[in-house]
Amino acid sequence: MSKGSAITIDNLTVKYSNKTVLDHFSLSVKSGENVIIAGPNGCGKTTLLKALMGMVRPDGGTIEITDRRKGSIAYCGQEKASSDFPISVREVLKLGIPASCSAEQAKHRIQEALGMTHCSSLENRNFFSLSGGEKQRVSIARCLCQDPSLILLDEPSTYLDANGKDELFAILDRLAKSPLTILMVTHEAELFEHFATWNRVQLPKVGA
Amino acid sequence: MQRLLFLFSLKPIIYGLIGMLIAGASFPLAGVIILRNGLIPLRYMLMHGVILGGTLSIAFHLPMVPVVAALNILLVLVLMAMKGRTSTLSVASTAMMVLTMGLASMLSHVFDVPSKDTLELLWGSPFALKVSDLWMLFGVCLILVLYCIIFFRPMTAIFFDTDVASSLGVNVKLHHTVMVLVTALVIALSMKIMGALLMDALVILPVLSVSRNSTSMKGAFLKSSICGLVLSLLGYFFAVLWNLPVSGTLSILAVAYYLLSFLIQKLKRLGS
Repeated sequence: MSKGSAITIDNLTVKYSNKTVLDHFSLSVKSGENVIIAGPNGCGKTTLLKALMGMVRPDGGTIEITDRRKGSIAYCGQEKASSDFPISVREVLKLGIPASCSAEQAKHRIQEALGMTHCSSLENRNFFSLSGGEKQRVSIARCLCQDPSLILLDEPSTYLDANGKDELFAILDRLAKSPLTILMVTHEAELFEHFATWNRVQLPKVGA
Repeated sequence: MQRLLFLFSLKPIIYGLIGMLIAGASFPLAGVIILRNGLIPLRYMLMHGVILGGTLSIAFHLPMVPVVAALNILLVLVLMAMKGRTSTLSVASTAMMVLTMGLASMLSHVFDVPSKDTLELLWGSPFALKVSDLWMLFGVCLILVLYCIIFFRPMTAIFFDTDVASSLGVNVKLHHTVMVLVTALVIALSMKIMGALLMDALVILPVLSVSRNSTSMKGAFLKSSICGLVLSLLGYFFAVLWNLPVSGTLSILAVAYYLLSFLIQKLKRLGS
């Protein structure tokens, strides 16, 4: 692993049953770098993120992540579908707070994350009653509560309307200027245009 | 009043009251698990498991509740092994449902088990509870309540999003298996108390009623539990007072409350 690297992926291969999803994929991401990984549906973008989180075991190759402390990798997926069962925004944010944090520290982190994502007024609302854009902002706030060094974003703007996208992009623009390493996977061309300054990696579809 | 005091001095009524108190406060927690994990098909499989367990216990003169509980746990373990490898939860549970009914039918025939006795399990009765049943009920409910308190955080994460839970280091598979096992035990016992056909009144309906008007998961858990307790006490009291079937009385009350909560939600929406 080279100096300053946050992630080094070397010849990563992942198969589901007999189907190869990722085939000898390599990538190096520096600490603080913002990377957008593009590729068509089914090319293994989500699998790549799951492999980084340790949720998928590689069939070949290696993944090295510099910061391996608990909670250092935060994950934000697509907008969550609605649910009849309630969960408050505060409870969602609490999920990101490490168990070792005191109540006072937790409160401070939650307020800070809510402020950064302009969600302070949503704290006591039911998460599932929020708009798509609000849900994604809260999801980013949950990631920030973890105090991560790496944020993985999986198609964060899918299903969002124009307003929701604008709100999300504004927050991501702000995060991109922070020391955080951000890895975002998407197939939406709109994101490549907006985040043109981010390093772009094309993920090939295996067998294509 | 004198009649009521007399009735509540009888052992079967007291045992029934204790059972309803315990079940009313804790069974809705299992309802939360069932609804949030999409375990409705599993619930039907476990009901059929109760019929097979009942047939087994009658055929071999074994104590009913432990046999039913053990069989349901076995069914869940087999189902968990099947699920994911060969099929989805609903497909695997359907196969198991057919298997359990087939076995129950064969056992009834071979061992001459009266079908009526087996089917009576589906109706259940809190008045038939024995001290040993109450202890078992208390034990299972204690496990359920402790699990929900101790593992509230990983549970919340799993209910919210399994991918997020995994990224936070929660062992989703392990927790899922434990939740399903606890649910299996609760269903086996609620069958004995309520009967399978009216079990939803105590396990599912309180959760559906309160979750409409709650904004947090903790609030929904607490309110479900309180709602289940109040409904079971009222249902039991009215049933004893007017000599009605407990399960039917409780079910009607639970449905009435569910409709009321629906109305409250609609009015709230109109007001806002």
